[in-house]
Amino acid sequence: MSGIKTSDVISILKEEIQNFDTKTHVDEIGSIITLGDGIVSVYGLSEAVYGEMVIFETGVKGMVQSLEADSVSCVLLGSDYGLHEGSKVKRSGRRAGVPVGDNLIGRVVDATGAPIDGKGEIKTTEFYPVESPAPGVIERKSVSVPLETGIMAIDSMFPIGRGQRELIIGDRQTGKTAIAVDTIVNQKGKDVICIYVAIGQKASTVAKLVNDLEKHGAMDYSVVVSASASDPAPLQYIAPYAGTAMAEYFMHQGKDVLIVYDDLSKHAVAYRAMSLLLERPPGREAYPGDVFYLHSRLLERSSRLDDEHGGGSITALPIIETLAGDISAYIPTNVISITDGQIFLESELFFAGQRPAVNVGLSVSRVGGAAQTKAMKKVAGSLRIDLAQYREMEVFTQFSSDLDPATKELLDHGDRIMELLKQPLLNPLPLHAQVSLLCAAKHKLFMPVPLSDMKEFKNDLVSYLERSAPELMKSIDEEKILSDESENALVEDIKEFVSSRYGNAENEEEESNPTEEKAENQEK
Amino acid sequence: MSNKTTIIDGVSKRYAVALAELKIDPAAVMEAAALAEKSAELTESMTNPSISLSEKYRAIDRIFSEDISAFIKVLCKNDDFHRLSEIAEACRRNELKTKNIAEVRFEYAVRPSDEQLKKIKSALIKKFDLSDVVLNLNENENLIGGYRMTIGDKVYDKSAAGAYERMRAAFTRR
Repeated sequence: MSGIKTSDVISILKEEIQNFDTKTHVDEIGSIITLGDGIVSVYGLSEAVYGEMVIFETGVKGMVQSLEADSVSCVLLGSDYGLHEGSKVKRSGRRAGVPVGDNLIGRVVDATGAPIDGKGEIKTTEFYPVESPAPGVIERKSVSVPLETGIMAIDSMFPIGRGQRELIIGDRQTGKTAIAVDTIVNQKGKDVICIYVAIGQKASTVAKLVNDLEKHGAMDYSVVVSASASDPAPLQYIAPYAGTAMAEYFMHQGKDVLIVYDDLSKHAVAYRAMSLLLERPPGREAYPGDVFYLHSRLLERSSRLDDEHGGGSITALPIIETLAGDISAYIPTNVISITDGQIFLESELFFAGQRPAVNVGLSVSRVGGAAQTKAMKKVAGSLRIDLAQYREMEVFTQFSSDLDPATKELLDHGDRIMELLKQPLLNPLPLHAQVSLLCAAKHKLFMPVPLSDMKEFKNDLVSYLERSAPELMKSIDEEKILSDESENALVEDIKEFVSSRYGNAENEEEESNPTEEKAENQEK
Repeated sequence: MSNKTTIIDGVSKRYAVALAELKIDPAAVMEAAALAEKSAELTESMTNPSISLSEKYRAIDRIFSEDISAFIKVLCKNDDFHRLSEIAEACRRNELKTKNIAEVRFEYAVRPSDEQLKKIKSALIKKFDLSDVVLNLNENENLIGGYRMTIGDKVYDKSAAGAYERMRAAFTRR
């Protein structure tokens, strides 16, 4: 009852009084036959349609999931407390949907759109169905605008574009949610609305996440949809669709939206539980036969629309949790085949201290360079190849004293790139910082820097460049281009900083490789 | 008519359809159901598995009329005697449907006059294109004023209680 204005009360009273004698309200009512495990069988409701919302006499909502000759089966979207055999159920006359609007921004809601953050009622004017058809082929535009995550390992090698679906996949506790949250935090000031859908998570985890987003000012442009582990399976089932409906509202207004589904593995489990209770035949791993369609119809709604349809986009970051790194399991392979690429996080890398623990070999972005700025393309072009060569040679690390100089240099360079790609939590890097660091790596300017100093050094380097070349940094951020002249200037600045810290790199090279000099002296 | 909606399952409906096709009088079925409802002993013995079928058949021949006895014997044989009241209700509803007669549950706070009831009946016949309407009147003080009409699954609510409830929902709606 909080947040009710006097004017609302007066207008409702006026309407009720005016229509009191003339209005006859018509409802279609059924009765509960059976009730259990969140599934309700209702007698009557002969005109109910599939996916329609029904309202029980306690006020709890349900959704029609099965139509039979004399009854309908509904899933409860709330508690069954107070319901019993014979309880009345009425049709709402509309498909299951959620309230949508600008007022959702900054709020935490459940899968039905009801606020759960204690900040009062959310006033919305529109109501979108949770299930709606994906945009057709003609309505779409190809992905060409980058969505920067602020994570160098991703923006350099697996760039994500607005309208793309990029899967984040890995074992438990490998930093999947961290990548998604860092991406959300990095959207500050970039005119992107973020929606985080928590499915089957602990409520404490969601609370911490909201707290982190608030601390970084991300809640000013974000919505959190939560269907926690204590919520019934039907609520966990509709949560991602509800989040997508909210995203579609913004997309239809021409805005760019980022939506994170954390995680779709739990979503599939909730759908499996619901389907088994609805007595649908189980298939592989007891999942229902349409588990692929469950995710494909969800993710197809994330797209970029053409200018005629507003030009908005929804970028999806679905998360899948694997067991023992098995990406060839049922649900992971389903979602991999649906999405436009994946970022694979490995436990071994994580425990070895490489965080984000991105496996460069198995990760891919199928949009690729089309979603990358020209500046980034220029400096990150050879990064994957360098790392691939590094990984091949890595096995020889144990024989470092016996390696030829070229191989040793390759390994040293690879080590420094791996150090460069390490990034702490909630510390997204702006474009100018990423481009500067990668430019240094491209030209092998980090070679004099000891590995143990890399972490501090790269922060100091970025600060130095922001002080000494602010115009250049600004132009990288704004124009997103790095001309040849700019690159040369940047390289000179970086060399100057490196030499100020670690001396002249060329002199150091001669000192550490005196072989030629020695040979000359011996001859003499 | 009781407040509780009688839910008829598919099995009972199929019995009712079979009886209709055999042209067995629904009134006879309803009479048999009323008899079973009145006598707990009869129901108990017809559903008791320790009593042999032949004994039950003898009892059926003595108790029920000839036109209905075969049907009751089939019920006992199929262990469906407990469905008799449901089948009777299904037969009654089928009969009404065949004759295009609707059954309307009419709840009121203040009983309408006979004249008003007549008008309501003719309005319903005209609106739903029926041959007749059976009005089951129920007094319900909780309605405060006005009436509430239930036809099949549809509920037409023009009561004060319904209006207050909708007003309450409007205030508390998200």
